[in-house]
Amino acid sequence: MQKTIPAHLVSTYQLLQCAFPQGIEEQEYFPLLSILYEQMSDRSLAQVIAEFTEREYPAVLNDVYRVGSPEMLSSVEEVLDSVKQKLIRCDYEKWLVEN
Amino acid sequence: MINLDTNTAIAFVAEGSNIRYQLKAFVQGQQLIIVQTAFDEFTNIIQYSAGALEQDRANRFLDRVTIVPDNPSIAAQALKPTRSLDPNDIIILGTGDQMGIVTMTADAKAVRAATAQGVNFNVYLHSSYPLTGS
Repeated sequence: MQKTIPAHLVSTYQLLQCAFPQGIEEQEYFPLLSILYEQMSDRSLAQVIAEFTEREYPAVLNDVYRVGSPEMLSSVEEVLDSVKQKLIRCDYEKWLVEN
Repeated sequence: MINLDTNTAIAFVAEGSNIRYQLKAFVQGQQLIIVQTAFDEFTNIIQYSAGALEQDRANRFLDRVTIVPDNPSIAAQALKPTRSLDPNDIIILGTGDQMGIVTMTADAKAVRAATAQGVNFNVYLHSSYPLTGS
């Protein structure tokens, strides 16, 4: 089925497609949410991740709330770095300044 | 009267929420409203992620809250959605704006994004707290 990504989320979806061509691995999921969290509204982040991973939006939105919680355990530094490197190779810095 | 965003409603009912008492203290004696869009999101998240205790608490919580139609202010309707400001953020914050009341939310990023476009919403910001499935 053809996906319809809202215009304001297209560049984020393309960033994810470039950085994770084989999909997001389980151990990368929360580190990715935490990296993107500060750059996106809770709903926009949940929507684009739900579209990309084909998870249900309400479940992803609750995961975004977890990332925003003060009690969220910090991600393993190595995985966080690895996810960030994948994004950086796909023009993450450019994406950061475009909004 | 106070408008509750979805993340606020979740923080009220999540098991182990360490901010529930802070939120309760703020709303004490006030009429609580939830915009239709936020209500729909809230019930969907409860359906997907709540455990039995959270489900019971959500039912009791909804007894205290009045659902109001989406009705964002003219200023809110002029906002452009961005990755930091979702259309539903605009509806929920904008309806509080139209009603001239405080909106409680955990999404400071959306509030800042609206400010960057020239619209200042009257908000009470707090931390998120997710459902735990308990």
